[in-house]
Amino acid sequence: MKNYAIIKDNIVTNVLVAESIENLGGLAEFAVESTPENPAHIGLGFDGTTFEQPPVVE
Amino acid sequence: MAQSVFPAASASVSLSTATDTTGLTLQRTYTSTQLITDIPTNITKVFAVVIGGGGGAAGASQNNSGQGGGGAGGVSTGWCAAANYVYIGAGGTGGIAGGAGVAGGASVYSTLAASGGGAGTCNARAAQNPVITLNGYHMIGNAGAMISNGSTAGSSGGTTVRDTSSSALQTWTQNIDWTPWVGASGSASGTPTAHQYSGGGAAGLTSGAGPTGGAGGYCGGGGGSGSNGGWYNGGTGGAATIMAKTGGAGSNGNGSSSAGAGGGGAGAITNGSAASGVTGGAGGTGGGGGGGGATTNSAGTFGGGGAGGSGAVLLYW
Repeated sequence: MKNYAIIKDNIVTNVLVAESIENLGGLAEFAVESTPENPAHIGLGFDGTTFEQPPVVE
Repeated sequence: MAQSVFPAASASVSLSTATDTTGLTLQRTYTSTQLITDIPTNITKVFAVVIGGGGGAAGASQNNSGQGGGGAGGVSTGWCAAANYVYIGAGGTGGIAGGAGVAGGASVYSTLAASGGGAGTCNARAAQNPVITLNGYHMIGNAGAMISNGSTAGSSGGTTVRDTSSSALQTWTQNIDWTPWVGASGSASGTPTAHQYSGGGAAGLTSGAGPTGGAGGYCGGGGGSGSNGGWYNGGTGGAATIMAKTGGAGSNGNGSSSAGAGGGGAGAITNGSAASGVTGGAGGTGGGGGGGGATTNSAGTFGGGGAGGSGAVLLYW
């Protein structure tokens, strides 16, 4: 299974789990895979390559 | 039970009617997004239990504190028109060392939707609350847990539902095409308490053992990790009481070299996973929250938080 971020206006609106991007139906054209190395956060941005991350507190 | 039991068009559907599966049979279980092709054509309305993805837990911190478990996924239930697509929210990734977890994704079926559980937080970092707008309503999954400047404030999870025109929580008995939405809220501050549908993630404490994640009817929150001031044990993940699933066990703080990590919360489909050493347990499939990560020793090697379980949709008729 893979996680797919659904992008609208460069903002992550949801993250769905599916076997492949084809299973997303009409949402596939808005989907970008989210990985542990580049995780999508609902409500944060996407610049076309990487997902925006929350600030890190040292 | 068939379509003849549906309430009349002008009836107000009570909360008990909307949530009671007595006499119904679980017919379908979906744990990933897909086209649905196997509902018989004579079944035009179904009773659905829609569960969002569980929140990921926080990774270990460097301040000796325990870390928060992820909140369980939100739950919405009710009668709705049979639909040919189901969208399943992903479980949130567990945080890396020093990092917060990721909130779970929302699940949607027909006119029902449920937000993901909030992420567990690390140190004093603000929680990442998923805010999702679907069908004109905001759904807000509260954060799994947080630590605020050494206090134990904040531990909540699951989904609350707010009307777009008001910041106030709604009593959720509204009909939408025969579909009352039931927004499940997580536990309140402090030690998580059981909730009817979804449980909150446990707070990480500045001292002591990790608390147990909040229990819920369909999914439980993740356990908090123990603090390493005294090498305390991690907390157990919350149970899913209606679905008879159990949360994962927290790991032991071994008294000299490591704090214990939190166990994953139970999902509606599978039990939560036990913590392994300083790594938090994963939440069970069906909305379980992940368990918090812990620290091996004061010099510092750090365990990651457990991932939340993916959401699910259960169909009864």
